[in-house]
Amino acid sequence: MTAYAFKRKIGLSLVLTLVLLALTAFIFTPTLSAAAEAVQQGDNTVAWVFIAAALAFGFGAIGAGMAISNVGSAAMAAISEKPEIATNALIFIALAEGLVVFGFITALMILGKV
Amino acid sequence: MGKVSDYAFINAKLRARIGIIRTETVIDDMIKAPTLSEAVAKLDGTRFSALAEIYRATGDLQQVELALVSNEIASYREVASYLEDRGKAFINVLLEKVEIDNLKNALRIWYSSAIRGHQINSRSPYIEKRLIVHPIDYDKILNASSFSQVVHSLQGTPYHDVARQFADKDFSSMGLFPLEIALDHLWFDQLGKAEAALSSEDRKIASAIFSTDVDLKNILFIVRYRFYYNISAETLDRILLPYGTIGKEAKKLGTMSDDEMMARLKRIVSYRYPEIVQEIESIRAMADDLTRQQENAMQILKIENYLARTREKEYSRLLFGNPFSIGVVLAYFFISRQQDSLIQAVLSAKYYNWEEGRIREALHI
Repeated sequence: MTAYAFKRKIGLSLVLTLVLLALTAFIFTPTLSAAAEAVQQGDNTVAWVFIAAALAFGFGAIGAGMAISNVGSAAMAAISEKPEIATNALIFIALAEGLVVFGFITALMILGKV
Repeated sequence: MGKVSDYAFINAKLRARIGIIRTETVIDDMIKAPTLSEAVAKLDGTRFSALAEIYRATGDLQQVELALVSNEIASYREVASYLEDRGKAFINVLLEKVEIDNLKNALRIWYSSAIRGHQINSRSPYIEKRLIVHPIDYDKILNASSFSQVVHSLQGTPYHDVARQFADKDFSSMGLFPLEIALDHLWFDQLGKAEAALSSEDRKIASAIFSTDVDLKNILFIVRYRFYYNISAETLDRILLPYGTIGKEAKKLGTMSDDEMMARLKRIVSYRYPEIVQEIESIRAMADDLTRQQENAMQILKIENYLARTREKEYSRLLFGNPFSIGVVLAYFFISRQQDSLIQAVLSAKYYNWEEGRIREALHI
């Protein structure tokens, strides 16, 4: 990959991330304003719900990161020696990736309660 | 950093590599090949293809052997580069064994030249002269006119102190054997220190496998030198490696009579290596009968083969243990060295025109 193509890919990823963030903000704006209102009225339960959702997603993501760092490096090492095992190795990476998906779903379910 | 992150990358790499370095079919094809050059051609397309190229370019089998040593050194260095500090230090000690073997080869050539007065020009290029672990000037050793010059050229290395102890000895009568044994002792001492620095689980694995190694070496020392060559108990005491089940009793064994030693050895051996008790007994029984020397030598070969198989089993078992430990690394080095030796042995056998059956019998394939 040339330096130009690499820079283009990085730029594209940044733009995509920003778009996704904007979209998320748009989707959750009504919930957030309702929550802010509830907190102003002295109801802290909603604040705890948000903290719970953040923890579910955050820990899921951290766990997945730790798992992928080990599984991914082991997979890359094995693939570099034996390219034909790439598919099997990627399955193990996907299993580790699953952790963050579970965290995300749990966070969504918690937010759905608000 | 935990065990998993320390070993995930390197052990996955080595396990995948072990799968591809086993070359049973290549070895089989090489054995079946009618000539040496056809046997070498079987290495094309394998991880040994560079060796085939070297042979075709030089027509020299010893250059091929030298290339195998270089590969081995490179492989130790590669593995060490992926490990954390304690693991790296341990692998460096394993690499020191390659250096000691190389140094022994250089000393044998020096011995041939300086003590026996042989021409060494044809042998000196087959020493690995590049840096392995410690800076050793091999040319100075090969060209030394006296052993004190050899000692001087080893200055700055751990081998200097060992060699110095032999500075005033007469090599023409005793040969190099005591010096070689002293170098082996030095290596096992270094290994013990590096082992002690490993994490508790790695230490357990390394100490179990090397204590088996030492036991097997000591059994062979006793059988070969005491029962077959009949060396004195005092000399045996100096030879035995002071580690492992047998080594711990080295001092005691050195003071025992043959019968007492036999009884003690039988007790130790029957517990861990029961299959060879009978062979050891028969070697002892035939030791004084000069007419049965050849039979005795065959028994020793049997024991050697049994011990080699035991060693192989112990190392293979490491692959089924904790995948995040030094065990996989040790198993990899063992298997890789074994494959290199097989290739080397088949090529040498082809060079001397051995027939297929004879090669298989000698290599137990």
